[in-house]
Amino acid sequence: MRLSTPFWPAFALAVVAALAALRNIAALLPAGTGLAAVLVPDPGITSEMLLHYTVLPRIAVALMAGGALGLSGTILQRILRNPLAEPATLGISSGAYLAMAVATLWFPAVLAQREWVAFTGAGAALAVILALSWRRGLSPVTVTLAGMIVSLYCGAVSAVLTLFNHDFLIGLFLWGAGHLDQQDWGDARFLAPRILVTTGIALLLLRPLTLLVLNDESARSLGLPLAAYRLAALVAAAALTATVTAAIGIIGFVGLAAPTLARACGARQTGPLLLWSGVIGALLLLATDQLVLGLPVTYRLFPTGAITALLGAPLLFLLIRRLKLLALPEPVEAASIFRLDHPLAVIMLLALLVPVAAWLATALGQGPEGWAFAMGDDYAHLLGWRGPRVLAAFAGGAMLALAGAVLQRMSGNPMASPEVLGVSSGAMLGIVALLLSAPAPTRTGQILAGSGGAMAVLLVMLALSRRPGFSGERLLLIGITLGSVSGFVMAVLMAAQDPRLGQVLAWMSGSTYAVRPAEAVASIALTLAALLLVPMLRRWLDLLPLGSTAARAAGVSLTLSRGVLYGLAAILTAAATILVGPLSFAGLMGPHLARLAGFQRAGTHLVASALSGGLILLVADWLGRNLIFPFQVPAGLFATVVGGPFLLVLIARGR
Amino acid sequence: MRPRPGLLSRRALLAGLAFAAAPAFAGADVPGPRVAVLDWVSGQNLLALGIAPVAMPELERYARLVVEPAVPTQMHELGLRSEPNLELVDRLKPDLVLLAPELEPLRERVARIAPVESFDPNGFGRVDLLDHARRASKALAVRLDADQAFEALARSVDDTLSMAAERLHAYDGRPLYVATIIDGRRLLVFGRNSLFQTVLDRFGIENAWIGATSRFGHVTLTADRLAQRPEARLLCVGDSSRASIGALLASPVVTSLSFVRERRIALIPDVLFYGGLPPARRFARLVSHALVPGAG
Repeated sequence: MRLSTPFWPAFALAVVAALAALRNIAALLPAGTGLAAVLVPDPGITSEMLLHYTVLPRIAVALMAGGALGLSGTILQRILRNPLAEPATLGISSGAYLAMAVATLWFPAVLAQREWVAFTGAGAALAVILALSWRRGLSPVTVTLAGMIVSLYCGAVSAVLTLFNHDFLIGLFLWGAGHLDQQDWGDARFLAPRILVTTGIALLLLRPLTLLVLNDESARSLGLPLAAYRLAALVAAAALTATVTAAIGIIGFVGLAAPTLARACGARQTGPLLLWSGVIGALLLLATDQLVLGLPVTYRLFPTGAITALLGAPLLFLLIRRLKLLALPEPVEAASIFRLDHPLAVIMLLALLVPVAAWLATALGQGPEGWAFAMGDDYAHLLGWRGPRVLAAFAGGAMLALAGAVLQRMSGNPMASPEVLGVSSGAMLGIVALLLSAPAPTRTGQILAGSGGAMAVLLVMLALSRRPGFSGERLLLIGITLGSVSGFVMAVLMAAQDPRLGQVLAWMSGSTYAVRPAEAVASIALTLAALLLVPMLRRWLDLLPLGSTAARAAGVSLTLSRGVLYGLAAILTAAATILVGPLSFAGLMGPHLARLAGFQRAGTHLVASALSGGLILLVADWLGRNLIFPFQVPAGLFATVVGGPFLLVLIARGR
Repeated sequence: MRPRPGLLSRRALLAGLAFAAAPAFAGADVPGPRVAVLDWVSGQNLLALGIAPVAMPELERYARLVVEPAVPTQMHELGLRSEPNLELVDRLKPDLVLLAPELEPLRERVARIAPVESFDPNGFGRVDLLDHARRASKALAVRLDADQAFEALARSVDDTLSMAAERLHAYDGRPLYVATIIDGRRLLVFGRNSLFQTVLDRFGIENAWIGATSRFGHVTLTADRLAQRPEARLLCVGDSSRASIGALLASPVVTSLSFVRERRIALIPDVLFYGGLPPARRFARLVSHALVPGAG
């Protein structure tokens, strides 16, 4: 069957939603209740109160929120020219989350105005992104990168706050998991006028949005003031997401899935695409939410956001081969390329820095008597504690940066950080499953569970990549989907108030705390092996970014080269994740730093990425262990919190 | 990163300065074995036996959430509960380290420091949590040659339970929702297999929540679920409940419930919902005073 419009898929979703909603209402309604009882409930009859104040507003909120998120996702994918863009790309939800965390911990009084706290956070995140990319005319690549880094940064700061204060943040965890339950019509009243106005503004942008998909020259030649329209469209998309986030919390995935499904089902032009993304988003969220309501009550509330990802992922997966991809984001403009004259000499220097840094990081540190420089027997003893952590930090950072560099060169997508592969999500799900099933997991058990999860994902992805229609961006899309599933599993776990939570939280933040000596040595060995492979991969990675035609003309086998590179990145990511947790920042920061420093050819770029990624994590680990001794901040978080602004400044300078 | 209030305890910094000033930190003022604990439950149980651990994580937060037994001032801070600072434990040279089951992955490395003893007073999933807690405390006391201290603790728990039971003779017998209010919409409800209900069973008070609960006896619920037992009473645990109860009571469905209209709501301060005898004793005392107010 050829799908030309998404009418039938949307109709099917609508039927599912309506049936589930009717079933839920019928379960609550006593026989013979009239319409009047629904509209004006009798405060003495609980079921009427429940229907009027919980079930009905929930339906209204699900429809409005889903529609707004779908619309917002479409606008973003068009202006950023990136099929992987979604509301979270702009850092809106993570900005709102951070604002909520700060308010909960230090200004609980303002939480009475919850919507405005979240809205302020979202607005601040957007303002930072716009300010950073303003000088580059809000170019899609810059906005995307700035958005990702602001998002990661807010996420890392929130994670630090969570690590230190999770006892007081359960309310925030529930908010962040995307629950749609309502206790009155307040949220619906908050959403309706705001979404109406922003949707109106979005419709006014219909023509410019059609042109913004084209490349900059064509759009400009049609007389479009690019920056002005981009600003308007970005703000409209952000306002839609921010409104939803402010009212009901973080609902991920819909913003990515709705536009993707609409496109996969045949909507092509901007107008129909906007319409169908909104409709599919609304129905997807409503259907999921009504199904969630019908679930049996267990000891935890199922957040609709999480279930949306669980149900939407297979749907996306089925339709993904129909997907006509948008044009890839343009690589960094030629004018901004800066080259080192002697890249090899700089690499030698970086390599020499590693042992010195490792020695300092193991010898110098805080103890019970304050700062001390350890020597002799004392040093040998301390090395037993500090050595594995320093080695693991370096190896973890280096492997992820290498994986990130390979992926970014291979896909030409600057957003391709290692977690888009899905293997770290697999590892995470494996470890969480072990935590929930075994009362007292051992470290070896955790490693096995993590490896099992990562291997399962890797095998599925490799098998898929051999089938026609699954390659490049499509695989990354599956990886991102998997990431949102695992993210929501984590959100459910956090909201369930499990006393064992702290351990997972620390591991999730990229901590070298649990690493044993043998693991540290193995990770260094793996890093060295991967670095030795670089000379063999160099040619592929120099040619692949030029496009598949050029690469094939130069005699590169696309299937082979992609398979090998993909497998290598996945193995490196899996190893690093199992060892020190998912540290997405090292995978972004290493490659970008190396590129900005002037390493442009694949060979030197890869090695420089690995060295700088490793050094960043090594220093972050040392600082994290010592600055607020005896408290410790995980290396991955520390690197993000300190390194994030630095990378943002570099991007803003337009290097 | 600069420490901020709340993020880093001021006390931890002061304690750090105190280390720097002290010529020796062997803690020789504490007789008997020097025990380090890596979690609150072990620390709380050890303190209840009259033995002060040399070190414990998150001391300031312990004082706020666990409250009793109080932490003596000379105890060393170990940092976060999720990552107690093992290098520091090593330098404090303890004779014994207590290990909770959730920290089992650390066993191999902790064993390099000192002999390791597992301690788990929770026993979730057992028939009687208090019996299990008593056995765990006794085993710990035997290991530390503190049999008499255990007898004293057991007597104190029994006394508190019987005093509370006596006081609760005056209770009106309504079923009880035991919950921490998370925000204006949701509650963490403690059900039949929770430590709290194990204590309430001793007083013959029925739990109003009869649905599913987790291994730890709790469940996250939206406020409207409380509508199932309108004749019940609501007992809110923890100071955070005090802040968010206003928002909860403002929602139309909750306002319409009879236990809200008739103000059948009681509040008690923070108690850990797991951890064996000490939190059970604290809960028994607090609940008896909250449900039957008045002097005595």
